[in-house]
Amino acid sequence: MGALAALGPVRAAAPSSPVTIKWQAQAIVNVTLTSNYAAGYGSVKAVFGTQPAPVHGPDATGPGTPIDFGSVLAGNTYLYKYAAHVNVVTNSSTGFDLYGEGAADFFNTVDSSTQTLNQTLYYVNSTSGSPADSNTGFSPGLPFYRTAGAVTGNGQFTTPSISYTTYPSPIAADAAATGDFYYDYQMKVPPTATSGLYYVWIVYTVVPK
Amino acid sequence: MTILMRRMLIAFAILALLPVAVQALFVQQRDQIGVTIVVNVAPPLAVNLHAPNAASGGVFGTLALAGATGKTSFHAESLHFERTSMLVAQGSQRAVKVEAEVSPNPLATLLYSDQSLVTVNVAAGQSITVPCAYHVTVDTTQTYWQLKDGLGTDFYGSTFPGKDVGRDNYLATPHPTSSPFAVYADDSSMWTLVDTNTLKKTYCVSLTVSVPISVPAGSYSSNAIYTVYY
Repeated sequence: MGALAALGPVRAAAPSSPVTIKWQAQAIVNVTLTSNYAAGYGSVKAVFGTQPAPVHGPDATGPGTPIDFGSVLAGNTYLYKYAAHVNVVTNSSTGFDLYGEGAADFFNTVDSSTQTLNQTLYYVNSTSGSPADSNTGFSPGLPFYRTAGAVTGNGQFTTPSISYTTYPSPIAADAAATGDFYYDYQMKVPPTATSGLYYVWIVYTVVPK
Repeated sequence: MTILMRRMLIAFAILALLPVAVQALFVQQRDQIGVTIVVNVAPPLAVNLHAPNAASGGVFGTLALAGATGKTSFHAESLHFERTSMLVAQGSQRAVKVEAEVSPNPLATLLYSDQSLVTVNVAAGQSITVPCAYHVTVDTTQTYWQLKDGLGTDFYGSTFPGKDVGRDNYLATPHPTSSPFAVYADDSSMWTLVDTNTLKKTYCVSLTVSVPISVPAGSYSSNAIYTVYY
């Protein structure tokens, strides 16, 4: 204000020149990812009818810990209930897109073999836990794909990130500024999968529209 | 032919067919797999070709938008800013690790498919046939078994029912026509008999997907379930 006052009053005859201003608002995006987000999380074998009780592997110790299917058999299909809750808060008046991709294929730490991710891991819409999730291992899901973006930091004990030059198809979109998404995961273990401990990082990315 | 010979022939036929009949009566479910069918539905072709207007972003719309977003000039003495709704696209990421300890399964190759996922791209209102989209193999030493199939659920309720997808299961030569999948959730929890056979057999499965024009663009999925009994 003081600086403006120092300039003194602007006279009508003062020289002028066109000025182009581009006004861009910085988007605010806050993503919270909670794995094992509801009581009863864990893996069940795919069957019709009465569902078995969910069990989980040793690394799934509660919210925020890995989605550990535990011991699975080659050739079988499993559903992991209450796997991931994605909460998105933005200041976008036109909503946002949610992307979910694998940083790599499903990797066997024992013999370094891999299983194609989109033939192995799927996501199925779930609930917050109330009402209870009624999915089974045969509920229709959609595949996670291995990203075509540039991956950095991918490791068994290091969290990767993905840089996109072109975004894939979103797994969800919301016209509102905020949203909650609940997912079960489905695993179809290939019959030819070799024995061992497998892992893959699933990376969620939110981009305002 | 004497009565005695006729009775002997009947007895022989009964003895020959009895094991098969007994096997058919007392079969049990031995294995079950699912093949995910994803149908990516594009908007109806007619909409793309015949709906240019300013609101939908057609040619005229582009011209109108260009006019609306032209340069704005300001004089210093009357400088002011008008905020638009444009946002800088800045993403935010989170990741979670998925793990599993895979063990060998002696029954893993009793019933299997060479694909656990099949993706079909088609516009609403269109139909497409995917020849031999995947194979289903029964690999057993059993001399009698049954293979049944069906979809677990519809793709999108009554808007895109599972019966809009036909399949042709064949060993060597495709059949002239396909028949709709039964849908377990709609058809009294019943599967459809594909075939009775013996030892190892591999079926080719051709899919014919007909998407109603009312289906909104998007990705839809269902699981084709295969069950072997003996």
